[in-house]
Amino acid sequence: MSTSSSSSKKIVLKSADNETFEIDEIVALESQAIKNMIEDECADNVIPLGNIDSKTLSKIIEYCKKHAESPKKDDNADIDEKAVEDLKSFDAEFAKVDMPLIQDILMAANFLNIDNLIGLMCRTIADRIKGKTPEEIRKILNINKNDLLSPEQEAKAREENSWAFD
Amino acid sequence: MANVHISDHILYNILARLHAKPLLRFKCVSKHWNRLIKDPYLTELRSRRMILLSHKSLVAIDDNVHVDDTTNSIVEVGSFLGPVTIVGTFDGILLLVLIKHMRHQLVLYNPFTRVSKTYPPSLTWHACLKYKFGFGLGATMDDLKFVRFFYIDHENFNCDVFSFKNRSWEKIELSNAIRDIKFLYGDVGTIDGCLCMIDKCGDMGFNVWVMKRQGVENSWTKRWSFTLRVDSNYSTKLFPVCILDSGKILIMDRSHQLFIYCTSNDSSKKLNRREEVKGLYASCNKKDGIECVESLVSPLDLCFV
Repeated sequence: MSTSSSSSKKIVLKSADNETFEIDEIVALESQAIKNMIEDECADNVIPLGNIDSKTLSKIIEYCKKHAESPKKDDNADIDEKAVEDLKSFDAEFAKVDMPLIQDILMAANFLNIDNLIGLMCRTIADRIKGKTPEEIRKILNINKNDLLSPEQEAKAREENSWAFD
Repeated sequence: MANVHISDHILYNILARLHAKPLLRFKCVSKHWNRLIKDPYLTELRSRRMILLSHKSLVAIDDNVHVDDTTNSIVEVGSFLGPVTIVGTFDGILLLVLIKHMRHQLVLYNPFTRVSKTYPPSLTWHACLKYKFGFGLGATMDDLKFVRFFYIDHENFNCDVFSFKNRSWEKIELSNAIRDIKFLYGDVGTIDGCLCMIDKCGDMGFNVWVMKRQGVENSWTKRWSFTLRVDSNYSTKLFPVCILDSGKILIMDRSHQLFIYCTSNDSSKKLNRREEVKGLYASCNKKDGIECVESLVSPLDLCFV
């Protein structure tokens, strides 16, 4: 890996609650949005992220650091299996956080355009909700109460898919 | 935080990862979820296929699922009061033939939503006769036809055709030429849209033949030859069940253990067996499986109904 040359360059991210995080540029490049900003030369020394709090941002940086260090799949067709396994178990551990934080990370990853992280968070949410009832989903994901089906519509949908409620 | 609005783009990403059961259940979550789940875009995004095997009930194998996830990798998707044969599939709908009260009955069934429609009138079935089924479109796109062949002996051949549009049966006289047709079993399929066939060579070996261009003589080529090295007490009795368009081949041994072989990287994996499915395989002597795409098309909404 020849990251040492670029590792000297630093980027500073500032969270919504005004905390600053100094990271290697290579770590910041995991975010397609930041990468575009740097390439278009519209990134100042400090990049303000007004919609991401410090708790979420530090998680995101933790993820990007790990993934920036790992060998990329497209670099080499036969990268060693251990690295892949290592990254997999990192991802599994990383996702062991509560649902509100998962959602915050997902929104931030979407804003920063970090594809792998979006996928990981979506997969985590899908895994956690798959065994739930519609009522539980409404609570977990804060579904707008004005958007519920009418009792008649709901009864019909339940009848049509009755096997899915067993 | 976390009182956030999830965009449709993200919601699709989450929904696309769910199995049929939670997905259909979540139609009740809200109007918005209901709309998204019914949207053909989601079906396209999921573009999942399942493999269906039939006997007393239908069993689906979801190849997208990790084999350890037994709750979803092999599931029973439909139970009918009588033996069932899969004739074919279109738009994610299966055409089934059931034997019920000593009669053949036609059913269109969506194994994903589990909505079915039965087509009367049924036709007499005799246990001593051998039947073969087929289906296709008639002169127009809305004219789906089902064909039932049976022979009493090699001199006496019969053919019945059912028109879904007219809901009527018709007896067809067969010419002598047709009488020579050899009926093929489930060892025909497509890979990347090309017609292909599989044959056995030796105990554990298989050849896959692919037809590159339709109607051109000698366009059949032996594309893959492989030996399935499986850990099985019955490895000498392997037979192909279904060829999947992705280039995977479903193979079963005599103990009804299933394996999926992948032609692209010459690897195979053993599928888990659930206890309740075991009984089904144990009585399943037919080798037919079929690949079917997931769709929300309802048999009740088809244009020829």
